[in-house]
Amino acid sequence: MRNRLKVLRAERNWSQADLADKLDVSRQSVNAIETGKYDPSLPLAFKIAKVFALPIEQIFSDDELAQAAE
Amino acid sequence: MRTRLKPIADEQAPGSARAAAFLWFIAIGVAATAGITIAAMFYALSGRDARSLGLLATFAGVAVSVAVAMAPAFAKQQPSASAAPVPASSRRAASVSLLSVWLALYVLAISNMHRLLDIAAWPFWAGLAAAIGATLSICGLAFALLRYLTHETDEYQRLLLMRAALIAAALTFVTLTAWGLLELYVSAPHLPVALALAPFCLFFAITNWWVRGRT
Repeated sequence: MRNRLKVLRAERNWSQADLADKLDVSRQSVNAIETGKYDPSLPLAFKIAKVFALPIEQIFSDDELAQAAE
Repeated sequence: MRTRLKPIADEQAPGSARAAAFLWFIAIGVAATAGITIAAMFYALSGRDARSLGLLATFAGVAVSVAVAMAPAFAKQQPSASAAPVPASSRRAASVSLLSVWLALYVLAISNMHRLLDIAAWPFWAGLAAAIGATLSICGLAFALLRYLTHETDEYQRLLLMRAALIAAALTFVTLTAWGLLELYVSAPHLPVALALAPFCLFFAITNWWVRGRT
């Protein structure tokens, strides 16, 4: 699973700790999601989408689909 | 569904209030069981010899060291210009590891108490009650630890804890099986089954750090 969390966070000038606080998770969780070490659950993915006010598919994308598109 | 955005606060990890409550619950349980054990020892050994003092000192020393070690982990972190704050996840990992070590020491202590108290000479019902009592305290502590693991609100932290527990369980099975085979094949010293929880706790204390170090 790919995600644009780091880019979106940078656009808003948020630190990982800022985003973690908004999502009610630890900073390590945000870091793990950003680096692709951990795929969030559906409820957390929805929460992330709400925080960024974007649809989920604009934040997360499937690896295979993304590679095919490239 | 409405998302509530909290103001950005300190480094306290989200959900840590509940997690800390569980840890305090565990700590109180440990202190209570240790206190009951010490009281029982005093009662049973009053007028006998001074060996109880050694074990009592061990209990007291471990209890005090754990309490001292845990205190800064739960103390509200004050902003400091000179020192960087310790991440909440590190404090939580330290607390869980310390509690695991404490539980391992406790298991080791109650596993050897029969020698000190000469429980084999007690009436059957008294020995049975002692065994059940010690088992119940372990059950309570294990249940509290399990509740903490399953109620961790941060799903990634929960995953790390579960992964550490799984690896610790696997290492415990391997170690105990290997030791059992050594007992059968080369007459290695007998390891009582009652000690099985101790290696798990020690492994968990280590894997808890190892898993976090790898992420």
